[in-house]
Amino acid sequence: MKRMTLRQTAAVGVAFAAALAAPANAQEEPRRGGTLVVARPADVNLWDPKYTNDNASLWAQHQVFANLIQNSADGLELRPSLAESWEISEDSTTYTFNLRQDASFCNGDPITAEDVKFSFDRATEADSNVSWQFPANPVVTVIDDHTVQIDIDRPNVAFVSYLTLWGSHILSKDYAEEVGPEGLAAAPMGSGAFCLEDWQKGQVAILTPNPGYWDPERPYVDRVEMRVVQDDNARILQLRTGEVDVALLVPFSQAASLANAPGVEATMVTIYGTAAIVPNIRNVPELSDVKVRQAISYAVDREAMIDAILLGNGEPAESPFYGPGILYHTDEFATGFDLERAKQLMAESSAPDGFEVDLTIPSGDEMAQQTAVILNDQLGEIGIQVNVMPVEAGTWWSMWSSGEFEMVYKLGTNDVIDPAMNIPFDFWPKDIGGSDSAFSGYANERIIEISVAAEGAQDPALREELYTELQQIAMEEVPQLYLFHPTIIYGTRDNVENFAVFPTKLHRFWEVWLSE
Amino acid sequence: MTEEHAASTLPSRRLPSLMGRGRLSALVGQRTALVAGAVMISAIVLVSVMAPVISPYDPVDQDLRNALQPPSWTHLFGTDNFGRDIFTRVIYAAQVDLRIGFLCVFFPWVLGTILGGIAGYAGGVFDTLIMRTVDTFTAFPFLVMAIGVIAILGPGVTSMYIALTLAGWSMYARIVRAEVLVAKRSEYVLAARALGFSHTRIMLRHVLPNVITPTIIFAMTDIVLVILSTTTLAFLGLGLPPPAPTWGTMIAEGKSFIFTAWWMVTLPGLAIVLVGISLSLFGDGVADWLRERE
Amino acid sequence: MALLAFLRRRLIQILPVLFGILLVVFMVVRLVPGDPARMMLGVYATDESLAELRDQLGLNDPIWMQFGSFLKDVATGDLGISLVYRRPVLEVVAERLAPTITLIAYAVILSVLVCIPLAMLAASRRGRRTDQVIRAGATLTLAMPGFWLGLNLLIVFAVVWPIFPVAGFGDTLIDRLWHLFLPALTITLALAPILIRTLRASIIEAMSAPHVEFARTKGLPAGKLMRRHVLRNALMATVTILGVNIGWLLGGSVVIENVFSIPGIGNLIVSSVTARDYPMIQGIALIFGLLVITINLATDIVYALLDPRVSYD
Repeated sequence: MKRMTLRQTAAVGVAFAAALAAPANAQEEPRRGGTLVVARPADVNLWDPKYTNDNASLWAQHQVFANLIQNSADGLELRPSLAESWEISEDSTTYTFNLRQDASFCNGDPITAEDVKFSFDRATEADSNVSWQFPANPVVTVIDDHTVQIDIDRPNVAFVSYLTLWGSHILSKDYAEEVGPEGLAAAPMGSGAFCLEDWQKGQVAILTPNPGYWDPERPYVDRVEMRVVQDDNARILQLRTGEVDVALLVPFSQAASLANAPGVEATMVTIYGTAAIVPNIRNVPELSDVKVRQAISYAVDREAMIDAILLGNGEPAESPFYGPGILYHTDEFATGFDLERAKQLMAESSAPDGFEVDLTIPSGDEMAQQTAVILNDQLGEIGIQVNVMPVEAGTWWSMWSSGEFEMVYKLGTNDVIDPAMNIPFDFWPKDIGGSDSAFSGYANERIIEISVAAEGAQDPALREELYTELQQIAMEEVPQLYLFHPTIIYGTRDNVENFAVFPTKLHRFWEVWLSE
Repeated sequence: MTEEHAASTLPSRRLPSLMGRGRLSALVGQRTALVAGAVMISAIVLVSVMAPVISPYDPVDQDLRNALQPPSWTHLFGTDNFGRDIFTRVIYAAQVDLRIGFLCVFFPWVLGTILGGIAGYAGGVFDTLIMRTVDTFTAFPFLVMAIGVIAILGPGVTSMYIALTLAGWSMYARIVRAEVLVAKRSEYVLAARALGFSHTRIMLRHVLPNVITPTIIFAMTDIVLVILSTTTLAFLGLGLPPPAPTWGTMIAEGKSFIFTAWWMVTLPGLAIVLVGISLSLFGDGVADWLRERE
Repeated sequence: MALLAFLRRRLIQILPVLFGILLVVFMVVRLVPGDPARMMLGVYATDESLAELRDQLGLNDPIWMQFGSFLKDVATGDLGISLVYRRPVLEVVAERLAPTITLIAYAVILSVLVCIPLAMLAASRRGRRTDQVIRAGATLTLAMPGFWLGLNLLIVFAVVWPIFPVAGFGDTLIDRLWHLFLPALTITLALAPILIRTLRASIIEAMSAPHVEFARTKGLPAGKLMRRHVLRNALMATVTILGVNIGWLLGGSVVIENVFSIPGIGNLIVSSVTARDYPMIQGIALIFGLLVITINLATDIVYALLDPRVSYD
């Protein structure tokens, strides 16, 4: 899973036949039964996807809710889920989904087109945390009990891949109306592989298989216990002693010791995410000089940074896209570490004598703090004095989004394999639905032109060409200082089969079985 | 909330039992405690000021190749995950930590004395208003206050002073008010008033000198707890910005390495313990001496 | 009668204090930069949707109107719905308060069990080696920051000698006492020096009181003497110290919860401030203030019951 460089274009305009993903370990017949115990760093906050924006909650919701479609195990293709097939119109603005007849919620009610419409309408309301997952204003129409049609107002090739995210989880309309919003937050009515049996808040959530799940093969286990083990060290200890079968988010400092422990395996995944520094191009004169930004990019020794912060577990960022696994990613325009070149660029710039700049980071975020401390050291070499300003996380957010910063640390993630997801945020001005290029004030007409064209481009070859040009411009103009793609590590005991964490950090307990 | 409140939530009528007896000073003798405490604190300050002479290392320079070295003769306290010498960082941090600690006692002392004095001397509406405010601040969760103040004003020492002043002043106000109520009824104040002296003059010349001693005695016991509070805030990420060293942030940074590099957590903490003991000795000595003079 | 009048006066005093707490927290929360709408809608929110949500949350109303409707809700016992958990604030706070209170109760019991014997020992050997050792130990633990002590206890008892678990809360009662031992011990070691000092002083005071001296000369057995006269004094002092320190204990447990990963109120405070969950922060401050006030009041009543001579001024 480390370094996914497979490049394959997302298939669009095609109707998929219902086909089940073959288990990754094909020689072995999955074994049924048993309890899977998972140690997670945090508890579920709530079970209502509409208001969810924390990992611990959306990872859990992923187990109990199904979507119309889902990703294949390698994340490269879209597969059926509650919809057994779908058609996309020629101009890719109309999507018709044919629902399965045999899928039901945990209480036995069948899943119908009304539930789909209800779920989408609810997720796109004004106070929804997930409305960003619905670009191009989708409108859902019920055709019949088991057919829905979704219309979007402009062609958007990436639209379908968003349908795999938590904003598109299918909820039960009857249940939602019965229990109200507080009831939805307290307990879900599952439409996916599992039902929530018990939730002892702050401690454990227990899942059992949904008898009405559309896939009769899955899940393989009888029960999943999602335990809250906040402390990094404690998760490792419990994995070693066999108290838990899976430990999510293992700290880097423990990876080596885990690799040597008997009966335990540590796996690394480079996530679709980039640690980056956003310069305020609008308000800081030195940073608006492209030569200064280029100098900074050459002055940063990304490999040394990865060694120190991630203990070697990461990839240097070589593109504005969120990782080598993202579609159309290319490392052709990467800038390496070249201190001489950096010094020369500084000398040619408008600030040859260097300058002072504040770097705002969220306090308590260790990766941010270590990145900042190293930048303070490395940029000192080219005469830039970086003052690290840790502020409380909510304040950091507020300063960043209101443009009141000089440089700000961010860790962005891409929740789908398509690069289109973050392009409006990273490169578009506010008036066309962006955020002034991550609030930096950077604007490049050609990038906007390219990315708008790529959104509606049906031909993968054309998209590749457009996105390659975009990456070239971005690597040259350094609108953000792209640093590295962090790796996450998880630990499993040897009897856990077919468990995987995707580069989107999602995982599926319904694919897992326990060997003897 | 932090240790600081252990003392500051004590209503004054219960104070003597906490402060009076059973102290370290009784153990080693009052003068000895004072002298020992003073010597230890001076030594710590001296070492901190002389840090550039004592240590060959820089407190913020990184040496990634020598990261996480255990204590040795080249690195007395070992090195951290950036290869920085922990001993050097500990002695440089002393300056900052001690200054913050002293000022975080000084500011609440001033504010509390003024407001408590007004409440006691003026009485009536002022008294009610100030004392209910005192109650409010006593019952307010310190952490919400601290995070709030630091979020409003941004990180740095100023926010720390304000947060700890807001949390600590109420105890001084209580002590001063109680003392002023007693002093107000004393013969010399009544006499001064009969002579037609202004309130300001009575307050400053006659009342204040008599009420100030108990607050200093209290401050002397408070100071250890305040130093602990400031390091606690730093531990929670509310201290000074990195890479400047402070004891609290050093311990916080070491937390994720407790399995692999215990020295990152344990050794900076010893500095806090040492300061705590010296201040206890010194504070006890001063308090006893003041009490005797009364 | 005096007690009743005292109670009435104390109860009347509580109201302005609660109002003060509500006013302060309301202001602090709104002075902090950042708004809940932005925190809820996340990175990709557009300006229009932010404005719409702000309107929906009532954040565009004049500040006095917001405060007014907040007071009205609180008066009817409605603390609102958390913006993060989407459930009633009271419900979420109650869930998180349970572990914190369990931990504090555990630590208090542990402290009493450790401190009363130690203080009695120190008092009866006043000035001798035992007394000196106990008092020096108390000064030493007083100088240790709780988070540092907790981390070192972890290093020693969970890593070097893995006797106790590193973190967690436990399921059954025994399991829970087991899991919470190290954090409770940490709090105990912070509380003990204060308790020992006070207890020792009050025991010495009680033992030198005329009526106790008299009883002793009359030949009352030492054990009976201790129980009847001295222990009572010691208990009163303990209740006082615990009562006035409850605010500190509640808040101080934040750091201990952080070190030992306990799902208590401390972590909730920090995460709610970060998420700008206004109703939650306001609710926590109110409940916290109420707890401190109630426990202080209860302490005063217990104090009065234990010692009828106490005057209510």
